[in-house]
Amino acid sequence: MTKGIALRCYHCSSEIFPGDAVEADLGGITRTFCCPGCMAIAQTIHGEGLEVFYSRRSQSSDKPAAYLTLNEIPEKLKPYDDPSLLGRFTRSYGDAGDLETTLRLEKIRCAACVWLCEQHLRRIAGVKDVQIHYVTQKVIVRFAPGKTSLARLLFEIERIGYEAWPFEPSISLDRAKKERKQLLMRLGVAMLGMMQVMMYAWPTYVGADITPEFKLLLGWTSWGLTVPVMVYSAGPIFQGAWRSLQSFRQSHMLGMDVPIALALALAFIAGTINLITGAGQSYFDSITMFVAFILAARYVELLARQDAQGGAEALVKQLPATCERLRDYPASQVIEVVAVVNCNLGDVLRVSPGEVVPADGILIENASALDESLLTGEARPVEKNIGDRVYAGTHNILNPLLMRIEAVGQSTRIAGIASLLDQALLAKPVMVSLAEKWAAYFVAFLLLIAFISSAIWLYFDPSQAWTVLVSVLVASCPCALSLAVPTAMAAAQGAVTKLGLLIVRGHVMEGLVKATDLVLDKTGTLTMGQPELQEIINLRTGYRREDALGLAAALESGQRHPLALSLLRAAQAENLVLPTLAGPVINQLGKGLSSGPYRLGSALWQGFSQDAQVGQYGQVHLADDLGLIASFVFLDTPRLGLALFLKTVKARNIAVHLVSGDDPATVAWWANHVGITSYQGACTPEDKYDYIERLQKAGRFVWAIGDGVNDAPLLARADISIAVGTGAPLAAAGADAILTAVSLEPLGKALSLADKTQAIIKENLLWALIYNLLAIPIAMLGLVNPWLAGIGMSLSSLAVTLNAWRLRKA
Amino acid sequence: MESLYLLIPISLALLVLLVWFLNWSIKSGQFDDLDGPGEAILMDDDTPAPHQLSKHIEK
Repeated sequence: MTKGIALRCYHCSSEIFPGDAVEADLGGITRTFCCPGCMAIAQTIHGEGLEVFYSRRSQSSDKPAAYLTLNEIPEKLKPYDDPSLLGRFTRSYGDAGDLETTLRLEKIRCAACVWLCEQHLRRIAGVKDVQIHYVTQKVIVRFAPGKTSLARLLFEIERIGYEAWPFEPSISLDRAKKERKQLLMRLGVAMLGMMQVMMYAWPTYVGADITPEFKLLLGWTSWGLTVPVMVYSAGPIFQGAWRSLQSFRQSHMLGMDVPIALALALAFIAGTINLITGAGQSYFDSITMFVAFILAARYVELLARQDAQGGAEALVKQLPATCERLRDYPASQVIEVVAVVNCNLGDVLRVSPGEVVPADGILIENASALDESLLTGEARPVEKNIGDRVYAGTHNILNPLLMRIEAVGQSTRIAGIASLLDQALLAKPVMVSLAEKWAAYFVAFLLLIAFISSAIWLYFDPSQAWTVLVSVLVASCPCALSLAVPTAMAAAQGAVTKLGLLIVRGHVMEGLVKATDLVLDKTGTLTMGQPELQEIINLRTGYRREDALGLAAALESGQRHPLALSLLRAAQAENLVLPTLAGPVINQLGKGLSSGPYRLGSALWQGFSQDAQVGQYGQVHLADDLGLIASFVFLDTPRLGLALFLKTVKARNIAVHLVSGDDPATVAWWANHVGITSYQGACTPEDKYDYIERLQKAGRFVWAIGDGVNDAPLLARADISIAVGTGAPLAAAGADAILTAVSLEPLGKALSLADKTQAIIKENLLWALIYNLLAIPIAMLGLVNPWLAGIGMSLSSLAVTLNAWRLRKA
Repeated sequence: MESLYLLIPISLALLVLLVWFLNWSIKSGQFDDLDGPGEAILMDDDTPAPHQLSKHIEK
């Protein structure tokens, strides 16, 4: 293993191919690097005295680009200093003419990353203040525009191995933040109110001997503290109840807010009347405590929901902000870097290999291959010839291509998919949760009982009727009922988050139990979308397997094509020493590579036929002047834990469907390979959407898992959906939960946890019901002892919470 | 018992102070990032003094 360690880059920890190593002296120790970029970064970090980073980081970063060795701001970042972009992404701050900007950091993985970014930014001349939010991965920087610039900040972050893009705070995000702060304030007021009112209620609790005038004083002080809790903290509850009543004609359902609001209002009115008349219970302690508990549960819920990312933000992330424009094409090839927002129809752009196409258009020069997997789900790069359409959001892999813009911004294909996503979210069937259903019955039952008993008392003893009406509503304790579901949900969500599944919308745990159909995407979900060398065939006699692989790897070294990387990985895994090639490697664009007599590339180029095998990722062939030496067969790798997951799903009688944008033969091969009987290939995003809609119309409850932009509408439409975390941000925007683990195994565990959650919710509701069945008759008889009611209420709430707590151990 | 006439206003004043403080802390973003500052404090002390500035950083 010592050999393996010696061959790792000091900065990025990637394996160094023989002959690529760069050495540098850092703090008296010679370190090895994979490229000059890594060396420059390490020098920067050491030079600033920040080398503790290397002992603190828990995960290493990717290989950086070579331009980072320079101190020049790269061309692609310069347009950020253009007034049109600068105005969009910065705000003025303070009187000194400073600017403030919010940047979204990428590749932040641990606390050491945050620390390094912050320290590095602080050391740039002109930077006044840096605030990094660890959770949201956003950084707010205040800087003096004369001394440094936005492009410089972005470049400096890139230089230490991270990525940043300026972030335009959207209105919805501002609103979410305001909502969170408001709820927290309401919760705080309710908590403080509860604390203090209970303090004043203490003499009544312990039965202290207290004179009537002090009792009156304490009563009115409690009243004064309950008013702000009722008006400010519980305000949204009353509003919600009112809305629910207004929409009763259409929905025929009463929300949870109605009984809560009713109980609160009646208890408060009764308490006030009792206070004035100087007789009976005042209920203020119960009211404040109840409001505080409800708001606490709602706050937890809100936090989970707001972790979801908006579709618009995700779309921005998918496309580059700048592009290379050829102003006087075809007269000259002079390139200017401009912001994509400033491009118009008909402009000619250059897209280098490894970059993302910024707009839809027609390829006009240099055939290339593009990775369209985000849009279509097709794993293999698609060959594009002159005249073919290229789409925004796809990756150029092979050659620097020239394109003429046909659509920018909102009219591109990817924006179309994003709007389909928004439509789908609107059309998503609203799942009536179990608790709401129970609550609706419960409310109806409760109101009926309360008014009937009050009417009966009115007949026998009119003076008691009002007291009974209130005590039935208060004693029935909607507290346990309203805590039953949120506590179980919060506990279950905590448990699955630890497993590697981040729940964004609350109904996932409940939905998993109901699911009858599972719709899977192929590339990136079922498989990793990454080719692995499966086998070497057609080996010429006289050549060993290792010889052929070594030769191929030597030809491919330095290439970024997925198949090249896979060959290099295979060679590395077998610890092969790569042979030195006689001649330089020439890249025959779109065909393959050649060096001296050796050629490595497609069958077509080499002039022989290959036996088509479905399910393959692809083949490359190694040949020399005498003909074929070997053929390399590549296969996509299935995702970890797939077999186990499918077994769990099938054991629950969930029908599994495979729906993919990949070609039908490959989809069929994979479906057979993993044992899925129902499948469909060559699907557009619209086809996938229709597929789900058809299932839903047939009364099925659909659970979908996907990763690409092309899955976004499908994920948004499905009853419950899970996006693979490494996939497109746009897909995550439409999903109800995000799988953060690499393996599919947590999903199987989440399924069994969902069962358990459901059981616990039912237990909790049952407990609340039993308590009510006992308490209500007593209240109806007018026998409610405030003591007993208080103890009963606390105990039932406690029982419900402790019961839910059992889920955390899953 | 008469002490209540003093104690209750004091408790109310304290409560008003607490609400004001809570309002301030929420508005100034004390609750926005509950993890970051906790991590940051572990990371700040033991930084060695900068030495040998690399030429990249001179701007």
